[in-house]
Amino acid sequence: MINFKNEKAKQVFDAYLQQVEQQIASLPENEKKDIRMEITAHIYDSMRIHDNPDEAVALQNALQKLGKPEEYIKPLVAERQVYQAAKSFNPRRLFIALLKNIGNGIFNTIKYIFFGFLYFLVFIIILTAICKIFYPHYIGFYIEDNGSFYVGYSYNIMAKEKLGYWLSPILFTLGILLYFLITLLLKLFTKAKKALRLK
Amino acid sequence: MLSKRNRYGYELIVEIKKYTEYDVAEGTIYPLLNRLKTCGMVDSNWEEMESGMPRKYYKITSVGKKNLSEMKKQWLYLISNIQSIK
Repeated sequence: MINFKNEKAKQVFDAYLQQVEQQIASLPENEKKDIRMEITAHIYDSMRIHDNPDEAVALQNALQKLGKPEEYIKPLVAERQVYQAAKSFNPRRLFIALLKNIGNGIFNTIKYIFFGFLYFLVFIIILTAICKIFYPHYIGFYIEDNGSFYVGYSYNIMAKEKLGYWLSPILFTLGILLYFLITLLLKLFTKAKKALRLK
Repeated sequence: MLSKRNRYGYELIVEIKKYTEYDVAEGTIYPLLNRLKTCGMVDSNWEEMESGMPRKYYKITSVGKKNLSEMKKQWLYLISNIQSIK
């Protein structure tokens, strides 16, 4: 903590930290503390180096150079959130984390759109499993006369349905398995040390 | 810079400003350092200071050193190609 002598400087500092707190609210306490401490140390060093006799002016300069919390903390929090969400396997947290990372740099945007697409596939699989329960005669695993096969909605009355009610539990199991596999992959991508090595 | 010795965030910014004329918000270095840490290129640890204000020091890892040397090679290769086109 910085010990301010000037009351106005203390108020400005507290207001800035409040903005930081709002940005990091979704992170676990240990990560919040880490970011809070690093920003405080940065402000302290910046004020010390530019050594202005007026503490309030020195602080104002330091904060101006550091930037608005929403500008530089957003990407920091977004990346940490993906890892935390992948660790928890919580679909809601994953969805929010992926959304927050789209637009956070070209590489991240491509990466998270790709994962978003994979999760969308899981959603379609689960949705098909649910639809099979309500529309058993239209949804199924069909085999056409020419040998081609597909899962889903069929207009072709000649197509033969092969799995019957078994389709729902099979698709549910497949969807859940895929969900865990994709999330493990996402976790690896966010934390992987070896995967990002250049040759 | 980190291959020479461990440094803290503000120190890195001061060093970068010495060699470049970019005027970007200082805070933007922290998402970059976090990304490097996530990729295992750098590691960090908190150190107590005499001033009473602890500092987070970053150090390059063996993975980071390997990448750095590979990127240097690629950069030199690129420069030599550009020069040969001239």
